[in-house]
Amino acid sequence: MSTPVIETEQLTKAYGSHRGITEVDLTVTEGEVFGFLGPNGAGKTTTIRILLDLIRPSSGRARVFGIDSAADPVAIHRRVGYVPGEFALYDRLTGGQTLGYFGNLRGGVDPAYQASLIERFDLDPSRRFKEYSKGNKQKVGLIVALQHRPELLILDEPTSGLDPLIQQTFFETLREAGASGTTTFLSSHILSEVEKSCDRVAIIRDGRIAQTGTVDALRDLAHHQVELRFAGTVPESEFRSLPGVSDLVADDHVLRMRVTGAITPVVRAAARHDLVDFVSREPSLEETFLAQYGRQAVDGSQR
Amino acid sequence: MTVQAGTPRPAAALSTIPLRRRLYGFGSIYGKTIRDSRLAFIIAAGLFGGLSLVMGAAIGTVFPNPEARVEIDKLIGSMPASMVNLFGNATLMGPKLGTLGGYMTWKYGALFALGTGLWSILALSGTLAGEAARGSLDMVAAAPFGKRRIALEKLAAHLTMLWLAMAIVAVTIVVSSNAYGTAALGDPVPLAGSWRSPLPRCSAAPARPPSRGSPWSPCGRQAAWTSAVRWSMSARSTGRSTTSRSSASTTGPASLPWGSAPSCSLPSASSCSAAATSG
Repeated sequence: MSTPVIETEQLTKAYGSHRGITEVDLTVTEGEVFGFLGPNGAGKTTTIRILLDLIRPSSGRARVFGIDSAADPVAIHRRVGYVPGEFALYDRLTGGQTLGYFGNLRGGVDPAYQASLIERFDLDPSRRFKEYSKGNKQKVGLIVALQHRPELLILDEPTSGLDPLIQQTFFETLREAGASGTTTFLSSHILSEVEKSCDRVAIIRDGRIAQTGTVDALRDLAHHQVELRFAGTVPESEFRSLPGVSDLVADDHVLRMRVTGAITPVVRAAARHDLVDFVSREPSLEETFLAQYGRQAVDGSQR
Repeated sequence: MTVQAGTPRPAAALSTIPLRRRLYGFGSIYGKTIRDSRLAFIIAAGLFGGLSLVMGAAIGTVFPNPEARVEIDKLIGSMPASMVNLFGNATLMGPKLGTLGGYMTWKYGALFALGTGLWSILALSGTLAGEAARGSLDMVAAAPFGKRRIALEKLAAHLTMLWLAMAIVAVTIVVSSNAYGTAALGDPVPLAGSWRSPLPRCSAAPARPPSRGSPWSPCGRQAAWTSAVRWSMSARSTGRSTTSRSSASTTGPASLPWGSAPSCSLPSASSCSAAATSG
């Protein structure tokens, strides 16, 4: 069995009367990409900050590389690359100076690898940080986390602001890092992102771990919101009986439904009629949780 | 017993960080803080150093001889006690209040101390709180340093810049006192004396042996200024009226028999003053 890189036991953090996280138990093994999924405010960032000893837990313990996070955080930081959920760096420094500074804080980095990351993420290192767009700022954060080839990547909402092409590059980089033994702890509130990039996943809501398992467990949660617009009368009953279809609502010539699993039966049924428009979108995690756990879970997680 | 997951990876071929970048630049938290303090340093050193030069020139021009310096007594004598002490503790200044450096220290020392204090407060409160407010603290704190080391490096960098700024002020005071002061009046401040601590020391221009016959011999000045200070302090403590203070000033320091002041050393300013008054 692989050695746990991250291990938490009954990890609890309370901000006075406000809930942080409650009795969080996690185990992340060496070399895996672990997804930490939850709606905004569920406790993902709190958990990460405790792992890095940026805040201390109210009770419970967290170990990273077998080291108690509160006992020797420097030894942990030495082996970790971290991208905070929300960060800003030095407005007056260029991207290159910023990367150089954080590289130097690590005792220096391999300049060739740093240059390759800059090229892959298509970052212009000569521009000042304040001149960067949100996505470019995020790229700087990602390169800062990756450039010293850490053994553990802790990424809090890493794709925020990145365009799809760069997201693809990022996930490729993660896969390559994983192949060389890097463990990744990826926090996200985007279901599809976790689904396609992670080996295992833990779902946190309302400060508690709701579910932990392989990424296949997410398939039960994954669904699409489909909207079909027909030219004529809506054949509602025909769609209601299709596999995976639920919450079907007919509105004039428009049909709205929730489709779990394969969308093929719906597409085939729609193709038999005079279809004017077809819209399928992935719902937000809040909507998914609403469908799965009910209103109380979503309200609770957003407190 | 805790079992560590894996072992730390062997270091790759890393770029070396030159010492100069560790001291100034992006090689360390210390170096970056020094770099970030450039503007504040230039402002502080320029402002205080420039003030030293300008004030030295002004004082040297307005009060170039012993007679003119007696006017300082009158000037101080005409000021309300609360205002006299607003500038600085004249009692502590002793006879050196009559020298260029002493006068500057008395009048602007508090301003200098206030300025450097404000700079320290702003700089030090801005180091970690500024990182937190900006949103960069988490990334810095995730570097392989303890929080204490991060804070200490930032503090050390600020103290370095503060010391450098004060060193420049010390040099400008030395230049100012030598360029605009009068050697016979004990104005020049030696570099060695100023270097130890520019602002406090600039008042402590080394006492010279009293030159009898000179109305502005060091001890004479010491006595005069001590008398002025004693007068100011007593006026303040007894709450005498402005009229009575003015009257005291004319019969106080300005009318002292400077040339007959006995030889005495700086620490015995009060006794010297008493002797001068009685003599």
